[in-house]
Amino acid sequence: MAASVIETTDGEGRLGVALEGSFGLESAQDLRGNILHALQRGDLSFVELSAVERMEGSAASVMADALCSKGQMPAFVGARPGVRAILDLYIVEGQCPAHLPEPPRTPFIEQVGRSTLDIVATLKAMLTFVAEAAGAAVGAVRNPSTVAWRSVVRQVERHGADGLPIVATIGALMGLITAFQAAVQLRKFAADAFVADLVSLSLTRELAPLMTAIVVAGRSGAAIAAEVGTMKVSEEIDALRTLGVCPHRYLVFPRMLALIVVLPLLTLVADIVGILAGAVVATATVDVSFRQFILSTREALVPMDVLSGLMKAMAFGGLIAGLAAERGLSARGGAEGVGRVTTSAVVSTLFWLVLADALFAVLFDMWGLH
Amino acid sequence: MGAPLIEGATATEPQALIQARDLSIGYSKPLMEGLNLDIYQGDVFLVLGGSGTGKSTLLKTLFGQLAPLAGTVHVAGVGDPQDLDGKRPQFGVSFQSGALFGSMTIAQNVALPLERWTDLQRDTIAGIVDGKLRLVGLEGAGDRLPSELSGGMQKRAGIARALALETPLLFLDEPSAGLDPVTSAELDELLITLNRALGITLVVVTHELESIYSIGTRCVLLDRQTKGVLVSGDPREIRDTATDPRVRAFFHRERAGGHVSVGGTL
Repeated sequence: MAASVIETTDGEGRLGVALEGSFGLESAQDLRGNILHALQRGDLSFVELSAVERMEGSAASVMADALCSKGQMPAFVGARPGVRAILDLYIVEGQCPAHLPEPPRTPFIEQVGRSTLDIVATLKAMLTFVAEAAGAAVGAVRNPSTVAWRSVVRQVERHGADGLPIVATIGALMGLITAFQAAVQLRKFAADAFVADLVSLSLTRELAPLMTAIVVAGRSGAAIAAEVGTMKVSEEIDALRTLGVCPHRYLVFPRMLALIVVLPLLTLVADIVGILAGAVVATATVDVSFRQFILSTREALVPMDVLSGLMKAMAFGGLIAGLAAERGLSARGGAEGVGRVTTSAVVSTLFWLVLADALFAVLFDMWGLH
Repeated sequence: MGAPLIEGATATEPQALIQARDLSIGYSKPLMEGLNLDIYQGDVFLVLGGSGTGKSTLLKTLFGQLAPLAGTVHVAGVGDPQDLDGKRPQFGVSFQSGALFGSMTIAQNVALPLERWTDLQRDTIAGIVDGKLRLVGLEGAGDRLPSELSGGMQKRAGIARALALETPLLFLDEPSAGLDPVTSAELDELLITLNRALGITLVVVTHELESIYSIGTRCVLLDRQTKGVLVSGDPREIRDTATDPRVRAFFHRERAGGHVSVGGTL
């Protein structure tokens, strides 16, 4: 279907254009070009449409947009009823479609101010969250029947049992790597016998709790943030509130409790598997038998080494679930918002994990636990 | 009104635009069985029924998002609507919730199919998008994100996006649900104009009585118990002539079993 735009004049010599044929998406680009071209000659005072068989909405709006590039809308004449109906839908006679003004640029100082206020607001939200989570915990202790225990059990399974294979694998690799490194270095000093000490101490005190926490942060932290974030953007959290159910007690507390329970257990598994893997490596690379390795481990480790690791793991568990849930609850927008809080949850958890670990090192040192 | 929109269809000899034969629809268990539907070019075809009868499921099956449990769907010029991936869409779909892409502005949402399927330049696309947004009453909202709009506005933006490629066939799932009466009436008017001026065929799921009488040229009323079509035809005619109490209940908003008095707190 041919579509053409012809420049023409009326009886009084005024400039105009006559359109002919059918106009749709395919001809929209040419239509625009032709009208802009005609406009270069001068203002158009009419658009003759009697030879237009069909005009789709896209062409009508492109025509209006192009005609208005000089700020005034010419009259439309001779349109058939079908074409007129479409024009009426898209164009207000004699009036140009309003264009939005460009949003004003925000001055630098204002941007800095806004970012600062954002940070303050985030900190405030975190503090509020801690307070609410603590409130939920106190409420749960006072009134244990209000806790969704079934949910806690399900969370323990999801974040604990289901995560066991990956945690055990990472634990074994950590033991293996530490044992290799220790063997190479200690052999230089003929101190092969101390491989067991090094492996067991570094695993129980530092590596196992931290690595397990990092794995769980990536696995469960992301899952919790995405789950809670999706609930937030789909108004499920609001719905909970309207039903008189506190989202902190109902959603956050079970997850925090589950991770506080689960993380020390996973850490213990990583401890054991790591030490066994270290023993295997030591047996193969240095002059230590498996039995000797286990005996030296028993001598080197005091219960506090393992316990301090497990204490840290409990704190890490609370931190991971708490941060993930807090980030999730702050989600806004749609799918993209959920993605953003999930990233933010994992990244901030990793940061806080390392910071908390450093804090524990100082505290344990002060209490003379090392 | 110009050349036929779909090859092989002419004004004098109507040929079904969408043909469904022995169609069973549902997810695992069938909601409807043995449906035979013919939707003709230029129809405003309404799918009616109570909630849970499978109206939306039928619509999804007709536009190929859901595979039929049995039977076939044939769309003229398209064939089986299920193998559409990667082809230029021959029909637009407006989803119940709007289904806008949350990370894009409203204008970007509407522009997406135009950027993908046409060679139009940015300015031209911007002009078309402006027009579509004006059409659905969202003038000036183009730079906003879907999450910043109300449900009704999101739905209208979804309709603008479905209209972007000017396809001759539109599927609309509950277009006026959740809209205020004035906007809802405006939307009905828009649908009528699209149908009359451009000959666009509309397949609409709805249960709004006003819409049913003002826009519908043909309808089917689905029934959950018999898993089939209770009645089909011109909605006004059905309203005036139907004798089946279930049909009357729907079209006259009556309770099928008479009135029940409530003697307590609901």
